[in-house]
Amino acid sequence: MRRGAAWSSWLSPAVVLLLVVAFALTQGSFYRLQLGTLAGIYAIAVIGLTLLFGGAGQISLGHAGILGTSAFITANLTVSHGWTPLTAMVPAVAGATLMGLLLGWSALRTTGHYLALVTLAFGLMFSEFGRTVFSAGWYGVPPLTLGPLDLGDSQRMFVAVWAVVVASLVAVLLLVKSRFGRSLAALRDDPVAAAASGIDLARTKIAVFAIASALGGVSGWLFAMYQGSVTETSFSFMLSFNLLIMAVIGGLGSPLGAIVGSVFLVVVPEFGREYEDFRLLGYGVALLLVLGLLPGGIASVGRVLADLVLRRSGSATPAVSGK
Amino acid sequence: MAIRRYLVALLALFLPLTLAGCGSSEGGSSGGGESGPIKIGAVLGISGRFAFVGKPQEQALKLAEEKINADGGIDGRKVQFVIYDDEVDETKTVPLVNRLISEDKVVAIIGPSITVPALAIQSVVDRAKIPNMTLTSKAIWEGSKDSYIFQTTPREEVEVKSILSFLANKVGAKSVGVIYDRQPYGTGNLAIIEKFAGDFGLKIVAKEGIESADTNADAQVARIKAAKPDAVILWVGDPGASSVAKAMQQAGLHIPMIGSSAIAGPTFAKLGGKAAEGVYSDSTYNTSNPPANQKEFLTQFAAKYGAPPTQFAGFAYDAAFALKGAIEKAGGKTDGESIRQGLLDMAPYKGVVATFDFTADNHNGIANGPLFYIIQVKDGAYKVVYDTRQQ
Amino acid sequence: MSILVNLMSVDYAQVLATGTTYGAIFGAIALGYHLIYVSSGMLNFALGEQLAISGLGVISLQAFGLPLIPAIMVALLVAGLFGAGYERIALRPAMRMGLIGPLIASVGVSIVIAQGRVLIWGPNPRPFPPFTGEPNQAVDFLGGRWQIQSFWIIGLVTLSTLCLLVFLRYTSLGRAWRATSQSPVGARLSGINPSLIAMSSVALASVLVTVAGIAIAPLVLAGGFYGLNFGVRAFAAAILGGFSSTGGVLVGGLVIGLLDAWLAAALSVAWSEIALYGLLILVLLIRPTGFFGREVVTRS
Repeated sequence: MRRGAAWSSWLSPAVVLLLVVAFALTQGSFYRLQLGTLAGIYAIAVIGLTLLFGGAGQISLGHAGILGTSAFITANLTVSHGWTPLTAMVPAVAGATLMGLLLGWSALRTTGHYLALVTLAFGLMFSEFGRTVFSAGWYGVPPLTLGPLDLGDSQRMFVAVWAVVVASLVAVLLLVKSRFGRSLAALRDDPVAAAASGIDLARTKIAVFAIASALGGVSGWLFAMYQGSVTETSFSFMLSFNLLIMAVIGGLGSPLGAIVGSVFLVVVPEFGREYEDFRLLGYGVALLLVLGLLPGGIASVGRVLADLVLRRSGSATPAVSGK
Repeated sequence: MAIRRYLVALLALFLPLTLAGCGSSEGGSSGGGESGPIKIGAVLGISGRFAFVGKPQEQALKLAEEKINADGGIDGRKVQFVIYDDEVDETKTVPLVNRLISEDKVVAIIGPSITVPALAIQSVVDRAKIPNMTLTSKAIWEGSKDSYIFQTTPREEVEVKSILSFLANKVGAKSVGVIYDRQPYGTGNLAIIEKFAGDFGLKIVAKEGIESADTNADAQVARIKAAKPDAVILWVGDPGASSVAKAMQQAGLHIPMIGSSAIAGPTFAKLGGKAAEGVYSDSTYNTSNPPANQKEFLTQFAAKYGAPPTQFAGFAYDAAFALKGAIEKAGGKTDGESIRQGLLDMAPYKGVVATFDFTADNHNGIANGPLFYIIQVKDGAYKVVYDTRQQ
Repeated sequence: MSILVNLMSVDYAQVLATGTTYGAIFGAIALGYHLIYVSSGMLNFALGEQLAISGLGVISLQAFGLPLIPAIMVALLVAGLFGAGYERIALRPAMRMGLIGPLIASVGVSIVIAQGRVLIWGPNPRPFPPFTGEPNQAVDFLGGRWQIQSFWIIGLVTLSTLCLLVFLRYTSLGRAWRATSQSPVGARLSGINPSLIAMSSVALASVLVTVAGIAIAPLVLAGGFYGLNFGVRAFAAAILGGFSSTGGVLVGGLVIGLLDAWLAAALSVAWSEIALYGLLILVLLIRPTGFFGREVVTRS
């Protein structure tokens, strides 16, 4: 992740916020607002994945299980027990974070590929568990209300969700520049040296998973209210895969890339409704193209273009491994 | 300066997206105006796990469109069906329905094909006051006042009771094993089977879950066999269903098996081969000797698509014509409330599947009696063997 | 308590029949994982989908008029070329992101294969006739009912493994592969081209997996959505046996096959899957190198 002046933590979120507000005010069609809301919900989860990769060099092939945990808890509490969505947020995010802590603990015992397989098995286990024990699902999750303010309206929901996105973006960018962020970078770049300089690797690893899962939990909570119904089918391996694609295509180490990737994945299919059959195929191909040709994802395109435009010679966007 | 570079980078990233967002904003043309075609939306499971339900429905709607327009349209205006595929994934259904309402500006929506997406859009259509001809067998409209949801399919219990009565009366079974789809299609109907089995003197001695995509049913069949039932009820689609048939043959379990209408198409016999011979299923059609209200539809469909339709097609076809009747009853008005009132006010509509008479208390409008024919695979194709209406 | 009773009172003979049949397939795929892992340190997610698609390839070749055996030969050739191709085009370039890159790339390849399959052959799986005998024909053996095709499966997988071992021991490419697996630096110093090794390992794995896929197609239909299921179980097999041990992954395959069959017979299918995934996680946490393996020096 890019380290640098403090202003950069605020600049990109501010730009995003500006665009979001502009979008919200100019779109009359509530269909588009809803699409944008969904992109935002995914973006929050993908920002978490970005942190996981940029910080711990780890991918999760089962992140749908994290979102699903939170969504299930939210749906169960609001539909079956009459909680308000706002109060349900705490147990929901807590549940997701707990799952993340478990995964983080696993990260202490295995690394790399093996850990990726653990996340895969976790995601599949969640999916299977959901299908067996909670096969009926829940319908009628109420829309979010903040006290007297009803956010069920498409425009309000859109703004609310993107407010959370921007907040997450700011939080993560600040985190990266903090001391914790430096520990993360050390963990990723040179674990031996990091341990030698007294950084508690174990705590850092677990913390990264916990934070990424907390973000996933927020995403799952919002998803339950957005969709209004929660069934196991929404949290299968395909969702984990989609989130991964958003992260990679947007730019695997870049939280801003997470937003770009999410928007990209939600918006692009709308332009080619006739090619719906090719959508998943297109995702796979896009994934391969990005991995092979443009590892920094779309986010790096911005940098590349900026360099071109400002005619900086030899500039160098550093080679990617999580930047 | 670093800040300039950053800004340019950000703008480069987001500019294309904003341009895309601004352009083609209010693209959808109005479908509720006084002239121009009447747009009716449809969200169907054309691909995905329930393609055997959604694809025939899409075909039926296209046939209905041709027929209605050839006969002069609705109230003199042409009808246009805007059909979307939700792949029976409710995360797609909801946005598609919203798209139909706010972009395509349809006057009514037909579908979705199965229960879960249908439940997911219930609040959407009621809030938007758009009449929704649901194609699922669950009576979603029940219990909610002023519901905008109507149903042109037989209700859930009807199919189950037909199967149970056939097993009890014709096959003489006393105990059954049930193999069901682990998705709500199967688990929901399992609950209904359990509810009514006792009424027909049947005891459920084993129940096993399976996925419709599974190609190996050995474990489930082994446990069913151990429970020694007189017959097996199968409530799952293919290839899962044909895997069960094959597993039963392999395990030497030669007892009568009846499947839901999920297997009433040609796929089951094709995938099951010899193991599919003798298996029963049900359908609302009598393809061997169609009654008058079904004959025209069956022949026209076969002529257009090369093969007769499965019963799911009829649901959509009837929905289309019910809407036509409703709009005409409403004097050509196409706002939601008028169409809804038109559905309630119009004379009983004699459809392909049944005769529908929508009332304020009954948005399904079918008398709750038996509607199904029992069919059986003989020489690779289904033949009607029993009419449940007879009892 | 009743769970324990269930676990004990299964039809063991039938578990043996199902378990060895599917275990052979898991072992074959796991062998593919092993080949790739040992020669290039990569985990390849795509083998499962390659398994699913192999039957369809043969069906199409037969539609062009080829009899069964030549069709299989051509399919194997195409599979090998395809494997080499996607290693070069998709996996290798992703190395830029570290070892996690090829893993993600292989996930991408698996999606491309799965969707490509739907586009070319449609979403419905196709029946595949067994090599001999009637569809579903079974015999009684050792107390259980074995499908005739099961013997073909076990035989073919055994034969392929033997061929592979011969290849590794007696051909120059095979010897180069073994050298690389033991000491990558040493191998490179002796002039062995590591990218050739990497490419050929994916090619070989693809061929292996295609043989297995064609053999199992009569039982599970060609082109179904079982790629992920088989792939994950094969991962479990490789982890249990140890990715770096040739014998280990095969034993692991058998063990997972038997375990899977036993659990499915004792518990409901759903819980057997949950148990299996739980077991996978457990093994990964406790003994990730497996029972026979050792940690492999990863390449840069």
